[in-house]
Amino acid sequence: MQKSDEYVKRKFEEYYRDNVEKVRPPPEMEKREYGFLLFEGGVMVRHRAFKAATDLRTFIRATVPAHAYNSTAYYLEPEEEMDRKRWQGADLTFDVDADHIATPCKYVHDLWVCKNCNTQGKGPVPARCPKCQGERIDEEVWLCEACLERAKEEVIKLLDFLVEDFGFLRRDITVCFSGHRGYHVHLRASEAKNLDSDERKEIVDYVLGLGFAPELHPDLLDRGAGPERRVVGWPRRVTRGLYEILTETSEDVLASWNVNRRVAKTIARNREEFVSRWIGEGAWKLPRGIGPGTWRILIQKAVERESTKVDTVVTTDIHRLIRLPETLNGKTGFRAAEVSSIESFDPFGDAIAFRGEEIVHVREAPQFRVGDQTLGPYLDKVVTLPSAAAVLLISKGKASLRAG
Amino acid sequence: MLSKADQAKYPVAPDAVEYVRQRGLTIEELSDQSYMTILDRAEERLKEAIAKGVISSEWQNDDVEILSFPVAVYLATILRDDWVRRRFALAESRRASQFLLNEDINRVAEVATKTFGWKVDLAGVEVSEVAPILKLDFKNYIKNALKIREFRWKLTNRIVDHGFVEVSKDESARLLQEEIQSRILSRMKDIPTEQPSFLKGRIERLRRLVSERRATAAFPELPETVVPAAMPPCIRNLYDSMHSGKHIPHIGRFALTSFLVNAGASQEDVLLLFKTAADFDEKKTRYQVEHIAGARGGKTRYKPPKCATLRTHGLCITPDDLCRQISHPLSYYRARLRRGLPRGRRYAEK
Repeated sequence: MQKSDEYVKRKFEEYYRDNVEKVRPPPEMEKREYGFLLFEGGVMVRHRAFKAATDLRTFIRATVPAHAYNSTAYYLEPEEEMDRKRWQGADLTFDVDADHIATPCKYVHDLWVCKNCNTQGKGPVPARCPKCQGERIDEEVWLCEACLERAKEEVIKLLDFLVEDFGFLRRDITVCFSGHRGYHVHLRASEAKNLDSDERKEIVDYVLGLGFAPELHPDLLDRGAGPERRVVGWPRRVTRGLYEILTETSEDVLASWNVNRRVAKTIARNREEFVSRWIGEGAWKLPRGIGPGTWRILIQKAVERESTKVDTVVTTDIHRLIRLPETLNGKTGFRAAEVSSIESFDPFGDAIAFRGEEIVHVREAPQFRVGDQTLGPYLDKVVTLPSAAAVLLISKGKASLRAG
Repeated sequence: MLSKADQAKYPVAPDAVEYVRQRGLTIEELSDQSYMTILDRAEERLKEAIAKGVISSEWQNDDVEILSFPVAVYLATILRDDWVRRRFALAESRRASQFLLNEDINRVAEVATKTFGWKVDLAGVEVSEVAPILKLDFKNYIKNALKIREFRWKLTNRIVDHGFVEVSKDESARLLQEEIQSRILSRMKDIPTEQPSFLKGRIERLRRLVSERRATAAFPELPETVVPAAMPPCIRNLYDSMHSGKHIPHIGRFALTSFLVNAGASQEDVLLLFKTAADFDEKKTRYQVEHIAGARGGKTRYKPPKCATLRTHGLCITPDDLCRQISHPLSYYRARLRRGLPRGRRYAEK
């Protein structure tokens, strides 16, 4: 086991030796606090500051941290204790992570283990162990393409909120892969810098659609009115969501939302007519039989569909440390790559940091992809893997090094 | 530049402040007989605020009206009473808001931008067939709307477009009221140490009025040990989860610890509770509890997050009737203790 850890650290070392120039300090780097989690003993080094990019890079090359972070905040005294740092503002930061998105594939690749009786299961963690009723449960999560694809969709929705609703400029927004299960969105604009925690919370609630009350949006409740009445903000999103729900959702899914089976049937049967009326007359004019109760359910589902699932804590914490772009993530060995085009970014290709191959013993791993190679699934098998895949499995505790 | 009459309406406006500054009036000068009318009006402003919560909107002389405002601020400050300060700021801001309601929307936009430095989309004053709409910079909106605890003020329920929030004229007046209130409050932060002797009589009169009017039901002293039956549902849930060794996210631990510490639990009591946690680490937990209790670092004792924050982080569960009347878990706890516990629960505790 120790040998495996040494191998991972050695790969990190090689990477930083050749690529440390790629590490990208945030704007106004001298006002940031930096933190590093070291391989050795999981020690966290915090409250560090660097005046210039070369100092930071020299430090990273010398210490080879498993994780590197910088503060989203700007401080006059970044090396002081928290209450003496003299906060000067912070980037508006969002964390979009598969942890906060319900994806069906979690049943395939996420695992929980009861700490009491060692019973294991797949999918979301249950509140109690089904066997011993124990409530202390560990989880092991995997990063998969479907989850990251969903995270990407969330980022695209978030960017739309930030630009269309809040009026921020796209050029002030940077998106980075986290190197694990999601993306970080950094907004660096003078108007956002001084927002306090409560104000940031209000922005988070907005993108989450939290507290959306249909009765405060009469245009949406008035089913005789048209969807084109409101073309901006949340009403626009709800309108779009309703359109998609009404045209795409199957009868069974509608019924699972507590829509009366007969009503669900009516919706499914009248899709074509609904769409043509919408386009032709610009009015909802729903088929008879869809009552206000159903309509409210559909609005609520439209809000869920259009909201962006972000981590509420990251955005509201104005002293947060966040992963330093273009450093390696110790949970995976992937680069926290800056993403130039979110639509075409390929985390399993663009974020790969290592070259070469390695022979490893894999205990268990689902199928996954590295570059254009599809690998696995594996069960108790010795295989030669690309280094990136070997580091990933070792870091995830699913494999160990097989020397020679 | 605001006219004299407008400065009398909005004496917190920078123009009015500048006018007062140019007059160069000092506290000592106020003792002169010729300033008696100003002192009288200042005292009246405070009396009205304390007794009625609203300040009359009629006056004889612009100068007296403008100059009596900073004097009233001064009087409110030397009374050294937080309740008076808040009540005065509220009454003055309501007075200004009443004037704004009577202005037309373009004038309200002008006051907002020129006087209070708000950003309004200038192409944004729309006269629709229904009601005129003002487009207000979302940061100005959030800052002030956050202080109003009603669903319709939540940003999620607003039309937000390219950085601007749509508000009606009346809503603009309401938001400006909040802005004015916080500006007045921030002017009363520095409390002078001396009380000029010529103000003694006026201060005495005001003090007497305060003790007559102030809400008599002061908070009872909190009991020395925590009463779980009086906890709000959110905290009670965290408390029970902790007891049964369930995992609680960091923010939940923070909420629970800060609540307990503020409700009078000793640090040892809190540690004892945390010992049941699956991942208990005595050294780390002790450090965190001490930190929250203010025994370490900044020496400030942390308050638990307010309801809105708990909601955002998904910790607000099964709110009850009392929850709808409060905005902070500690207020719930105090109210529950004051009103008495629900029957059957008081003695049901372990």
